[in-house]
Amino acid sequence: MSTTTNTNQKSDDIVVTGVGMLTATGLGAEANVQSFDQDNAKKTSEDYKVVGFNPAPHLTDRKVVKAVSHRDVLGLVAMEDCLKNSGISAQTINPDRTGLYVGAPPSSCVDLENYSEAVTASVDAYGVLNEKAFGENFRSASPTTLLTSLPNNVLCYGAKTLDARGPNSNYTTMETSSHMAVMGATRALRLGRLDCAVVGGYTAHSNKEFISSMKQRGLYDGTPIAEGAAFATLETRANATKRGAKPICKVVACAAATDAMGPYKTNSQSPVLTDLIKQTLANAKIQASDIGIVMTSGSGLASVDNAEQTAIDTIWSGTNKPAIASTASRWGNMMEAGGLAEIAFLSSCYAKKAVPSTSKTKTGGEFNSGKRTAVVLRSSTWGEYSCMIVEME
Amino acid sequence: MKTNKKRVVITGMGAVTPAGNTMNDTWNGIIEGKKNVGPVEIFDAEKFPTNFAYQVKDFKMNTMGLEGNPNSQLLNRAGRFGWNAAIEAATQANILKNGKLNPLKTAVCLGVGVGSTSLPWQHGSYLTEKFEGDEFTLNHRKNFPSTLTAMVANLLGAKGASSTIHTACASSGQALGEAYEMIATGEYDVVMTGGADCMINPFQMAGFCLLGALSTRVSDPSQASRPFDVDRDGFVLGEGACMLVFEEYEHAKARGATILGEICGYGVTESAYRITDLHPEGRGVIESMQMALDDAGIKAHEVGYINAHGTSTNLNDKVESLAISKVFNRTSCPTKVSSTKSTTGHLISAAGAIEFAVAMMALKHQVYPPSTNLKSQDPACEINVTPTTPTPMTSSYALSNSVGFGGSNTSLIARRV
Repeated sequence: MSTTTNTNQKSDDIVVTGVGMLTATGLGAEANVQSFDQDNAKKTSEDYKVVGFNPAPHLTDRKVVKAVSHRDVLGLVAMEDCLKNSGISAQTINPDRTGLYVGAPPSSCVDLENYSEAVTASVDAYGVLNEKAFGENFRSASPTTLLTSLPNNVLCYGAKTLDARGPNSNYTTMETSSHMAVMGATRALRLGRLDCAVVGGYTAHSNKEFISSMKQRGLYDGTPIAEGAAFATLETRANATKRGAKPICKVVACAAATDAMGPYKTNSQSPVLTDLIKQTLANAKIQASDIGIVMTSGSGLASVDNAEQTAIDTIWSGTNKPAIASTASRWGNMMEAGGLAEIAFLSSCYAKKAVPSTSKTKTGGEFNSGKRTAVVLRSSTWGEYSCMIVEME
Repeated sequence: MKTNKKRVVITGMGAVTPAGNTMNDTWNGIIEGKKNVGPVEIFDAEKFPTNFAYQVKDFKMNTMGLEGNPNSQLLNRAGRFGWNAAIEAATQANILKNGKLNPLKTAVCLGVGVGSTSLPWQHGSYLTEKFEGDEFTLNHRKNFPSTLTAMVANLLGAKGASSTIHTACASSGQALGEAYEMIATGEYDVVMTGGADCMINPFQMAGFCLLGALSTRVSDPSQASRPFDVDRDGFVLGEGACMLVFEEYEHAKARGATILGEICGYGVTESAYRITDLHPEGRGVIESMQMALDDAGIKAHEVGYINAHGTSTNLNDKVESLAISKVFNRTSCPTKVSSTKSTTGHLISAAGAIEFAVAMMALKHQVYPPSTNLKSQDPACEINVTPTTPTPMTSSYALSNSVGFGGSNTSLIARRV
């Protein structure tokens, strides 16, 4: 194993060399990070929708907009923003050694709007579908109806744009999706299958189906659900050095765990989350006292917030307590897209040696920018958790 | 590929497919050429251009762990198949909450369907306006891809990662591959992996009809799924699930588990071409198989059998054959190929898992699964297909391919132990 000049830096370190993102606030990490310095808190899911944004100028293949859903477009724009910020393109990568790992929302009823006409013509007065009638009426729908609803469109079209032909994956695990993507990508990088992985997640649950379900189950009172996407380029330090890219941070570890209580159940005292953080720190040979910031999910739901708070209070106390922050106050509940955008936020905090007050929680300690290691948590109403540890460069 | 990987063995398998409601029944069904294919019974498909499918028959839900459990309502049709398959696999591996597993070193990684586009179609109004009431919220939760994964984690008491993958028809092949890597890298001791799917509903079947992907051989559905045959005209939908218990070799040995086989190679690529079409020169599929061979540290001629993706569509079978012929030279490799979709139909997200399991069974029994329905091999498919009846095999390695809409390709290599 060869090393670079810094003895803590190894050629097979996995580093982040660029972040791209798109939220209701705007396109790009800088615009989104700046939003924490402004008095622009949003209030409802409607406020967190990406509307009035023209994606075409930001896409290599502008025609793709017609082939995919709104949420896919968000993902593809953020991915291309990430490529730009990382300085990689189809012309510069080794196709077989570059892969995409994506956290994606599952498909929704609203993806089938192409069938609306056929369904309207096939339902009775009670809204019940006459299957025979639908069997004749659906033929007028677009041939691509099924394809538009696929949850792996960003992986597909993103790989095509970048000509990334290496190992890849697509995760539909809600809040932990983008961290699942980090785990998949880091495995492939560590196994030597890849030199570079473009990793991220995208989300757009602000539709009638999802919101109605959340409301009726009492899960709508937390942080408003947001639309958006965030991607990061992960690569070996050797690859970054070879192409002259400057790392933002090193991905030290990423792991996941679950309460295993079944779907939609969280243990608000979650000992599993506490164990996950402890174990991830131990595996990375990092002391809890070395952590400068812990980024929480900030879902705003009591069960999830309590699980995170309990874990944090168990692991950190007194003067060792790091700053505790969340991006949710400005970016909303980023669901599948959360967990990677935080890298841009952290980079800004460490550069400015301050955590914006608009992101801080009351329960955190003072921020010590000398502690270069940060923890990013993702927690869901499913009792599923992930923990990524990054060390700022 | 770095070489400090841990060995990964299979200690449990379970299946529910149109060929049989257990792993052994599925294997026997494939060997006997059993074909549960006929008119769609799940809904009235009479007016659809394709009105038939392979369907699971005489299914009886295993309620183990579900008595009094409110979660029991949350399993949709595919989920119920997955539940039974998971119990079968876990029982065979003897890991059902037996207290011998470290919960945080036990994970679940499944490849499952797309999500709530399969909400009960009887309620056409779901598509147009109404998302209300207890029944709606129940169905919404049922159709989340992660629901089955969370249920299986709960069943096993598995508190490690709970991962759900969707890469269309490559989903469960990819899930198996990632489960293998999760153990090979030392992160986990045990991973329950596999897939479950049922796309036999009006909306998704209509979607495939609109794409022209399904066979329209309505006059003789039993002959419709005919991979590599010159008269093939599309795939036939199936449904079902398959689950496997992957385990680190030393861990399995230490607890006295019966080792059914080993997974020793994984290849995964992106064609980076078109969403539905394979690259005409087999790009992606070739590299996937080669990557799996390199990972396993074996040569092509050592692989005795390939369970191909073999959908029975014109393009897939032609391009996959081309890819296979480039990696497995027809004259120098004894490798034989079949697609068991002729007896199971296309299980979509569950296809990769069941086809890898069948490859494992072929190694165990040293029998080539037959090329059921093959009457006249397409000259454009230049591969050595297996005979139409089961025949003896002598080999220690088998490979299973999966190819998905969206361009993901996976190849998994099983080793006989």
